[in-house]
Amino acid sequence: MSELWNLLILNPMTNALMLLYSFLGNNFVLAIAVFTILIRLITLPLNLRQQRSSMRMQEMQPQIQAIQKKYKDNPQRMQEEFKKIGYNPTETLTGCLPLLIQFPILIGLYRAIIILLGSTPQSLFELTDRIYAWVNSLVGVSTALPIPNQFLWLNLGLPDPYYVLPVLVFATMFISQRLLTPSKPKQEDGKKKQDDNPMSGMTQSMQYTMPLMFGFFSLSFPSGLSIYFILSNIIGIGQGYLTRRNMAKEKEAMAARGDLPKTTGVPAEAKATISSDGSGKSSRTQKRSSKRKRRSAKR
Amino acid sequence: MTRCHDGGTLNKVKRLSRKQALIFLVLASFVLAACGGRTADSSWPGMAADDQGVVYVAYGPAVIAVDVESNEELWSFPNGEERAAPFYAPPTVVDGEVVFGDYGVSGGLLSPNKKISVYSLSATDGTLNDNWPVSEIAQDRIVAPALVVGDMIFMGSADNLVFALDATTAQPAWPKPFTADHSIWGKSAYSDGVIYVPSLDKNVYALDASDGSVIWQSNVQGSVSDKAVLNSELVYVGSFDMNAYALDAQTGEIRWNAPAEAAVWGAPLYVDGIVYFVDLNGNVFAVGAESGELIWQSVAENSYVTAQPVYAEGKLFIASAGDPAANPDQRTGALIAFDAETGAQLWSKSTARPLFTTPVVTGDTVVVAEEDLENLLVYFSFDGEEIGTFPRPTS
Repeated sequence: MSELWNLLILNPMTNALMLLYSFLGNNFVLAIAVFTILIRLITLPLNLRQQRSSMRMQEMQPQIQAIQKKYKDNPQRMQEEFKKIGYNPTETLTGCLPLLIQFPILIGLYRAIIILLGSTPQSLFELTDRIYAWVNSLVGVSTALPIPNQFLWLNLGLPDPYYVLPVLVFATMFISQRLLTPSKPKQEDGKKKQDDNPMSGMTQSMQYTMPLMFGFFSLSFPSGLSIYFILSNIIGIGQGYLTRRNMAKEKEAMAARGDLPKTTGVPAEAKATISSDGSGKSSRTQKRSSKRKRRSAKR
Repeated sequence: MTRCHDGGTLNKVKRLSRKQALIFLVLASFVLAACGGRTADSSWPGMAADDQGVVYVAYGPAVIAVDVESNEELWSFPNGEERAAPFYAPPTVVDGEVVFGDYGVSGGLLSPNKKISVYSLSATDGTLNDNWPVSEIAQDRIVAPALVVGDMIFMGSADNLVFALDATTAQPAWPKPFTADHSIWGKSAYSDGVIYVPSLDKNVYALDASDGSVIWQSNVQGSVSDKAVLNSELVYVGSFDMNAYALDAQTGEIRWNAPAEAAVWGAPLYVDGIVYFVDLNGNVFAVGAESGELIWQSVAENSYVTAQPVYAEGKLFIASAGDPAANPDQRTGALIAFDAETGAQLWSKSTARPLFTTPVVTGDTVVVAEEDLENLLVYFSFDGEEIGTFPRPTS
């Protein structure tokens, strides 16, 4: 599997960075920036799908919860109701896919940066096995290496000693996460509506946990990798903002046409059949049970 | 799994989940594969020998002293329970002292900085000398061997610094370290109050040994990863630009360059008016020390070579890091001997793993260090007979 890893991830990344570095005036930070853009473009369809799905699911949470509560003993009916509102439970897994795909990229990029910056003689020697012959003849690798490791106050192969990059990683990821989460609706008195939806609570905590986690990681990452994070998050912020705006426009357009899908509020059928005592029993079942009670009382 | 009367829906959900599970498994395997393999903080062993038949090896977890004749470990450093930083820089042994640096340990949970240390030990028993180690002298690994001249220790670091320490007090001897534009991996050379520093920034620097000020710098077009070799008026270095260079020690002017066929990783070797050097693809060159004119050229077949050649009794010994065409994980190494006068290959002996480290000669034995799980050192006679091994310490 490690050979497959080298073949599919590490070697292509190393060579891509080498080529970009060479073509962009021997500027490694610029090479990382362009590389980040390329990676985001490649993963754009998946990211967009995940973002839209995530936003839509957030909005559907009240309906989903109501259906889960009502039909918890009737999975078949639950599935049917989910289908009606356009919710697919397996999409939750799909939502994790972009993040999982990012991991090999991150690890590959970390290794590629270490190798190209020549952190140790061994890592620099590894390049001889990783650089493609055609890249070598194009770029003249032996004279290009190792890549200069200084950028402003940073040594690109070492963590930022002044904590600037970890703070930026946290901040940009936090903003990016916020854009993925719809804001809570406000009550009449201006306070935010209390939301006892556990999914919502989890999402809210993720907004802080993930950025804190990555900010902490970047304390020990090479600066070059932290720069990748920051640039990737900035692109994600722009992407998230555009996605939100587009979805809002789509909703408005659909509302104007009267084609608004049943993605808001509790389904009418679920509302109608929710019992007045909140027991979750259907009205028909309720009628039967009250009839039984009256009969037993007569006896 | 949700049960539906509609078997089609059930199957679709099952198929979808299986597909996703498969994707996750593949990704997880990739991630695990990525996490395996060599870490960023490792390298090949560094080795030195004294004139008493003792070899000093920095092989990662420790620095050990091995008596070659008795094949016994004399001491190991560190010998306490405290986890030490990795050691790979070749130790320097001068006047009963062993000096080396480490690759650094983490500065703490929330600290981005590493704690890099330099050590001075007694060569007899491996105990730390007074006032040592010195820490926080640099921010990145010590890859280069130290240069010890009298009471001064000169050392380069991977964060582009060259610094000087008083060998007795362990205090900085310069007002501030010299800063190059890239890492220092090679050992400096010294003559008449001047140290000659090779750098990965494609320059060789001549610094005033008393205060670290620059006397001259000379650009050699390619990184210099190994030591500078000084003989009389000339400084010899190997460069990644596929040349060996001879620089005027007074001015830094390039007196000659001898072309190779690949990057010259290991330092040149000066012996009796001839300079020998080997390029990364195993091509061996002997050129006149004054003129750079080619005397002979030979080749260590199917070999990567990163080490400096060594000389003994009319023979050149070259450590091979293996066949470039072989799978890196399955490569073997070799020690190859050439006639120093004619360049004819005399013999070649295989080793279990690639040999990156420059061999050392002690007595009538050539010692090589390999990254084998079983053996750390292999001993060869000058005739190519394998005469012993030293096992890799288990602790």
